[in-house]
Amino acid sequence: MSASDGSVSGTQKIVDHGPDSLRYNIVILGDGYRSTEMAKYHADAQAFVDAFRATAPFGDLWCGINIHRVDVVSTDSGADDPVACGDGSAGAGTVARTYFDSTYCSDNMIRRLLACDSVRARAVAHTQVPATHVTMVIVNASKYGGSGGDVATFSTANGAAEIALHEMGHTAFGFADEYEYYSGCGTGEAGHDVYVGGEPIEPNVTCNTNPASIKWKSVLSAPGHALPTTANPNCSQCDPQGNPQAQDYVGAYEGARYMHCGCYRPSFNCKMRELGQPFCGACQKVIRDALAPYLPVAYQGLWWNAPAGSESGWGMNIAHQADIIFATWFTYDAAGRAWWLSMTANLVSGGNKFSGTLYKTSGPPFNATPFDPAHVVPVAVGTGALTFTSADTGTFTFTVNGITRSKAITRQVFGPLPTCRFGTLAHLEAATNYQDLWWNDPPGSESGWGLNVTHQGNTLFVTWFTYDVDGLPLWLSATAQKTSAATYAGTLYRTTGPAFSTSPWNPASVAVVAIGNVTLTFADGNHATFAYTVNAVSQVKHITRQIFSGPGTVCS
Amino acid sequence: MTYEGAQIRIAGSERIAMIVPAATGAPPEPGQTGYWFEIRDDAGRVVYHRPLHQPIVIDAEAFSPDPKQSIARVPIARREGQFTVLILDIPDARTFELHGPADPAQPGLVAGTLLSADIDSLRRMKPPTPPQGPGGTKPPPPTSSRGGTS
Repeated sequence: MSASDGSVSGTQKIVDHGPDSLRYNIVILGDGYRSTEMAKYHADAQAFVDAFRATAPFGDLWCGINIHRVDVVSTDSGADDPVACGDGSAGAGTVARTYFDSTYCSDNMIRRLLACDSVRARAVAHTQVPATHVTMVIVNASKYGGSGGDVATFSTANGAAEIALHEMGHTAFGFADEYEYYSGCGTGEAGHDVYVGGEPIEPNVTCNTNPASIKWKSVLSAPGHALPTTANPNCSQCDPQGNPQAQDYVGAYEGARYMHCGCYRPSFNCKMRELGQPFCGACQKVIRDALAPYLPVAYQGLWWNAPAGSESGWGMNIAHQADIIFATWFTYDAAGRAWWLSMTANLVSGGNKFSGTLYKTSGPPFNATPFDPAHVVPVAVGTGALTFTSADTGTFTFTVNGITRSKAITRQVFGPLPTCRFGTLAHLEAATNYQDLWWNDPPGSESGWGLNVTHQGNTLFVTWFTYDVDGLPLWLSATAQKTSAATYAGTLYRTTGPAFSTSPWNPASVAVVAIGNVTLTFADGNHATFAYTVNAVSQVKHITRQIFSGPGTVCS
Repeated sequence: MTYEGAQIRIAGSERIAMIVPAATGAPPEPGQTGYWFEIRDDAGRVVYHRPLHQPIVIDAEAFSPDPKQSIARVPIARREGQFTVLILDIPDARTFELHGPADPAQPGLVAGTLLSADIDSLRRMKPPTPPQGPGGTKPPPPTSSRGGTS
């Protein structure tokens, strides 16, 4: 029942997005796991990580978060469960010698109040991970329970992880409770009828119903509508009425912070009001804002050999969303013909190392109507790895058809370089920089070809990866200048050059031939028309951003 | 920080290479309720602030798997404890202030200054003494020098 009842055996960074000094660090500790139960602890910790990532908006902020699992071995399994408790419930009478001394009925009143020695837990977390932001303790006990405070504690019972997420709302983001009662609706509780006092400091409750100045005005679902959205007709009790709006509607609902009236919450429901619910829109906004400093720069954009210009003629377009990079390498085959290979590269470690399989793809000719994605055939030709040493430098190592090369790469700069970040914009329509991987709209309708757009200032560099009339890979490129508010136009070029494997690679051997023109007209940040003429063939395609990990990455 | 009843004191301070969460929302104003802390510069301007949820514990949340009423509060007798505050350590920072109700049992009271400390004095403080016990592994060293103080 103390630290003599176990030991700390090590720490594993189970979600690694880079240095702890730059990321938001969550530390998971285990209590009541014997040495023979470490595999179960690891599985329980992973289950929590999965639940955490699935809770909006944390998945969108994933690249900014590290999660550390501290392996703590206890002498006994489980937690204390005293026979008697103030709520009249009967416990099993278990006494477990565990490292953090977790116990049900921790304050001798409520059986489900499962708490640990939070001071010790915080100290262990801090010793193992000095840059700890949030500490959580998973207790190896199957009865439902948990508690909050400086450390969130929860059992392995089904749904108990919700307790940790709710408590994280308090400790990490300063959220108030949004429930409108203290002991419970229908308990006849006194002193919780009408809130009288100043504006609460917490970002998710208010006594202000002016839509022009309410603290979550930026996320109101209907900014022009009068508030409150609901008013409690009888302040001596909880408001029994249902939600007159959609589930995710953000307005001002009366009843919050333990008061039936006079205090308002943003949405009808929220994880800060009821476990199992999502965080409301106002809470999600606060979480996004608070964690924004931890989001790393995405590697999205156009890269070429370093030093810049040394191998002008080939390049690599990178679309970077969460832990995934989709790279399109535009180069030349053994015959010097334009050739592109693609790679879905997954994060390997540290937020900066990615690897995947390189594919050569054949498909319907660029001008095929309709373009049938069923005829697209990818063939694995090797492997690739991307290792970034900074936001603007890295190394591309590949093995293709048995040939291995390593290239230093850097961003290609032809204007003001934007900064790209994953997860910062929920609605891509609002984006004003178009740098991304685009494909036919609706998504997936012509899977197999795409358009990489690099956007710097008033210039777009566009590489269109598609297929020649013989079905072999073909890429065309254009430098498109801004011609009106949302329109960019330029000449399309076909290029030949030294084979991808040539060393040294001589840019003087690259030949460029104009074969048509392209015009991109953007309806908004996520929709555009792609009009081209190639060798007297003209087409107009509707395109949208390719999102392989929502909500995508935007540059600005 | 530690508290006993309404008495709060700073138990220790440690500089850590880490990033603090961004301040969200407008800076606090007089007359507000709840707990928060502020960092002020030489001119008295708030350069960083964060809300705190009930750092002085007067009750606890009891949870239920019943989705209709999954959370309720129960008063607790214990009136002592600890909490941690992660503050921004930048050259302009001069003063740390903790705000909240004078009586923790009356959270509806307008917040006042509960504690004020000079940032330089926090920089000179030692870390709080951790609980003693066997086991454990040595911590990895900090990896960069970006500022945060807890």
